Amino acid sequence: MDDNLETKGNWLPNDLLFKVFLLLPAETLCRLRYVCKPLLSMINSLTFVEDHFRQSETVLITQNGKGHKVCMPNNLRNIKCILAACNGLVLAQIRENEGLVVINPSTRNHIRVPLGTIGFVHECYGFMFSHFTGAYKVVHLFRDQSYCEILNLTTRSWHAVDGPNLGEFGSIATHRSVSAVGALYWLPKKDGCNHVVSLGRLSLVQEKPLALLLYLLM
Amino acid sequence: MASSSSSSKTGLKKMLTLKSSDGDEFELEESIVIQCQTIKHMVEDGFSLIPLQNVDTKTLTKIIEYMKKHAEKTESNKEEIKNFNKEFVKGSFDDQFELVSAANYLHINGLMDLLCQSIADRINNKSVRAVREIFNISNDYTPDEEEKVRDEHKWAHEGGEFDESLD
Repeated sequence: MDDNLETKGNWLPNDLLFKVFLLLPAETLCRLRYVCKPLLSMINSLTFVEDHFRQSETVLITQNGKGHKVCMPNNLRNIKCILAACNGLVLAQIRENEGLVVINPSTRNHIRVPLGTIGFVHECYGFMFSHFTGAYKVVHLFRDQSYCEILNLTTRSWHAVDGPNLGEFGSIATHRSVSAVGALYWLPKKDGCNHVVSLGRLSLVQEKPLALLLYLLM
Repeated sequence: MASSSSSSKTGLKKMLTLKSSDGDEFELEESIVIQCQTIKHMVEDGFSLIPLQNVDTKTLTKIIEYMKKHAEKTESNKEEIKNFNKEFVKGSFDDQFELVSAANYLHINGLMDLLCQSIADRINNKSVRAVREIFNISNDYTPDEEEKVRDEHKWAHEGGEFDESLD
């Protein structure tokens, strides 16, 4: 952590400032960024971000209606729909085919990423954090196909990998995936379904983090 | 000097002396003082006179008040403790900073949590200028840089007035 804060003679040592600022909501932290540069680097440090995320509460975010309303910056006001969420980050689609965006609703930090390269009608998106590679991944699935594509958020490019066995999925067009402990899960839309479909964990055990395979849990 | 063995065995209340940085001494029951992890470890090492070089008399008096009240904590007086805590954090920012530094040094976790939360609540709606004053932080941004950072997070400054007061 930056030592400059202390030498300027503030009343609290850095570790205590850290503890106090950790308790502030993200909105306030964004506003207080320009108190001084050392404070900005403290708030932006990985330790602070992780600790802050760990102790923050879960709120319902809505564009209109009940819940915690988030006021978006101008360049993010044309959001069409929210596709998925993971660790408090939101994957959303922008209107008029302008692609996808991953947003941190608290800080309004965001990165734009391209839409999936294979434009099928019956598609769905998933969003997950891989503990193995320490990276966020966007997954694009299609009905009736034996492969899917995965977006690397760092390079912002898509690549195709082996996908679900279509018989296990049923219809996926309306499906939302759930991201938990480094894997994505779907409940197939089939009558009398006795399994869920998951993506991520087994492929990590096999040390093939990018060749994410879908498999049956039960 | 009494032996350092557990007071519960003898039935006598074991007393400890805390000495502030101003040299004032406070005699307290061990059962009250062991809420403080730093002192607890010293007691375990056999000390019964505990010099606290980083804590002045004014701050130590407040901390003893806190420890005495919280030593009385039971299932039935939760409301009373809550009201006590509310009153306890009403002092000036400077007093709170003294207290939180002392609580940190003494490792009184409950008091740390209480004070950090109270300070955070009090600065939550403060303006940037007020926060600089309160923490005695000097602004190292040039006007241009400040304008730029402010522009990037314009949305964070929307939605009303922020509190400029320093209390």
